[in-house]
Amino acid sequence: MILALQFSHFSAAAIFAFFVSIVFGITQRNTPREMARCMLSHFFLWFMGGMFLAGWMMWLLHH
Amino acid sequence: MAKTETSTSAPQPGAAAVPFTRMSALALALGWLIPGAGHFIQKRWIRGGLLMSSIVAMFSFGLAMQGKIFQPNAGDLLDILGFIGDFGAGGLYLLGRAFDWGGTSISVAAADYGTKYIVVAGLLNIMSAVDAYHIAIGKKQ
Repeated sequence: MILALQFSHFSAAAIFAFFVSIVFGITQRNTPREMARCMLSHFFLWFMGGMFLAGWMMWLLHH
Repeated sequence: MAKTETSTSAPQPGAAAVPFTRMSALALALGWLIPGAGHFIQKRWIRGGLLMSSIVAMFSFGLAMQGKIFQPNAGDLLDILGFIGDFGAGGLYLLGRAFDWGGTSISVAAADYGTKYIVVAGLLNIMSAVDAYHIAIGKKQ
């Protein structure tokens, strides 16, 4: 059986942001507390915010 | 953080970075071959586990979305860069090539996402291996 996942644009980007934030948080910070904080407040939210911003920019350019 | 985050063999945090050692070379090589293993050998269990699960999950999601695994090539620049990214996944890439995993062509949007997931998993694995190296030489806690 071939497993073929079909994510929406949003889901694919959110999953991407989740995993990348974990790795960035661990590799770019020194202490566990900083890592945990940066995973969420810096990297994940910046990814998601950037995605919404890019999405609206494309919508505005299209209309 | 848990007691497991401390290491007895690694240099003390804050100390001057030590030159290239056998442990640092091993952390770099093993970290590339098996995601998170560079941290495991330095007893950073939680970090290693998180890195391993994140990188393996990204690679697996990429495959499940019919993402393409690039082969060594000298053609299109993007294909060459794709191969470099994929190769960063180390053992996962070698397994993927050995068992012929992944889609053959990118015909749907999900497959394009999957291809990017696989490339990024490889790049993240390189970051993870370099992080393990930095811990081994004492540049990072």
